[in-house]
Amino acid sequence: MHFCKKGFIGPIGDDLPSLVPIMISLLLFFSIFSLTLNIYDTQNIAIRKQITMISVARSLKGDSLITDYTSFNDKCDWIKEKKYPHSFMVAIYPATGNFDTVIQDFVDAGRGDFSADNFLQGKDEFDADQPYFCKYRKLGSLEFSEKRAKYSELTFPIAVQREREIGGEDYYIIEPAVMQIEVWD
Amino acid sequence: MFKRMRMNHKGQAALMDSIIFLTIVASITAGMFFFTINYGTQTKDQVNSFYASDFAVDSLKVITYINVLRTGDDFGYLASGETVELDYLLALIKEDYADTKTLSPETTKALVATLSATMKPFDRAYDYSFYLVNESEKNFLFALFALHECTSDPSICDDATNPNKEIDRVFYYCTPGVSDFLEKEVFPRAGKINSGYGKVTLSENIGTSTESRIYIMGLHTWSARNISSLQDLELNVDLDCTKIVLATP
Repeated sequence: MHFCKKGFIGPIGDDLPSLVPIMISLLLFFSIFSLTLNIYDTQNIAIRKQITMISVARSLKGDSLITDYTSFNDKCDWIKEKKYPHSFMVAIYPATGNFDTVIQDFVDAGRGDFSADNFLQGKDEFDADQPYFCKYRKLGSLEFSEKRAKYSELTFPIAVQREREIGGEDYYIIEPAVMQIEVWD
Repeated sequence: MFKRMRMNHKGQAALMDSIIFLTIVASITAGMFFFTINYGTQTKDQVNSFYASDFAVDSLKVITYINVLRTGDDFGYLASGETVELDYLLALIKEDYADTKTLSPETTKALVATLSATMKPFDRAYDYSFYLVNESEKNFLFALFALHECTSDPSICDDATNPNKEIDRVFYYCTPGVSDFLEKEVFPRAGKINSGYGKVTLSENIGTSTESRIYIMGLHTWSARNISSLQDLELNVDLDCTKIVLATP
C-alpha cells in the first residue's frame, strides 16, 4: 500500500501514457471523418452540377436543332420552372465566334450587358434582335463571377435556323452553332 | 515484489489497450481515406461519358441538318447578285453517291467546313475522324481525319520546347482500301476515344433502278497527339489521302 501511494499522481495522471494514443486516435479519426465529409460534399456537388448541365442542355437543344428564338425562349422559360439545384446560364455562339472571351461574356450577360455582341442573335415575336441567352438564378445564389472557383462549363454543337443575307438576299438557313453552359452554386 | 509486478502489469495493460485502439482506429481511417479519395470517380467518369457521347451524336446530327452552298464555299465569299444554290449537306452526299459513289470536291469542301465549324470549341485539344462505312461489306466510302500537324521546319518541330513551333489543324480526305484501319492502327494508339454513330441510306443509280445500301456514319474524337499510323498520310497507299486546306474568308 505504501508503494502504491508513493507513485500515485492522481486518477488521470496515472493513465496519462495510455491517454496519449487514445487522444491521437480520436484526433486522427475525426480529422479523416471531416475530410471524408468534405470530399463527399465536393464530389456530390460536382456530379450534381454535371447532371444539371447535361439535363439543361438536353432540354434546351432538344434534337440539336433550334428553329427560332421564340422556341428557344419558350424552352428557357419552361426549364426555369424545374427549380434546378444550381444556377445556370446558357448562350449560343455562332460556330465562327470568339471562344476566348466566354467567361467574360457570361459575367457581362449575367449583369444584363450584351454590348460585346458575341452571342448569336435571333428575332423575337416583335421582329427585334435578341441574343440566344437563358439565365436561371437559384434563390439565394450570387451572380456569376469569374473569380468564383466553383463553376463548371460544357459545350455542345447544335444547328440553328436563322435568317441570313447571302449574296444580297435574305435566306433562312440552318447553320452550325455552339451551345455554351455555365453552372455555379 | 508480487504486488509491484501486478501493479506494473495493470499500467502496461492500459497502455497496450490504447495502442491497440490506436491501431484499430488507424486502420479504419486508412480504409476510410482510400475509399474517400476514390469516391465519385466512377460516377464522374460515367457522367463524362454521357457528355462525350452526347457531343459526338450531336455533331453527327448537326452534319445532317446543315445547309451549305452547292459550290462548297463559305457564305461569306458570295458577292452581291451571285447565284445562291443552297442545299442540305446530307443531300449533297447522297447525290454524289448516286452519281459516282464518291464525294465531289465541292461536297468534300462543304463537309470539311461543317466539321471544322462544329468541332471548333475543341479545335485546340482534340483530333477526330469522320467516316461513312458500308454496314455489310465494311468498306469505306470515305474517311476524314482532322489532325494537328507541325507546319514549321522539321528541326523546329522536333524541339518540344521551341516557342516558334507552329501547329495547325489539317484535314485529310481518305478512301481507305482496308476496312479495319481505325480499329487496328488508330484506336489502340489514341488513348480514350469518344464515339458517336448514326446510319444513313445511300442509293446508287443502276440503269433505271436504284440500289440502296446502309452506311454507318461514325465520329471519333481523341486528345490530340502524335499517332505514328497517322503520320505522312499522303504517302500511305492503303488510305489514299488528299490534304485539304481550309481557306479563311
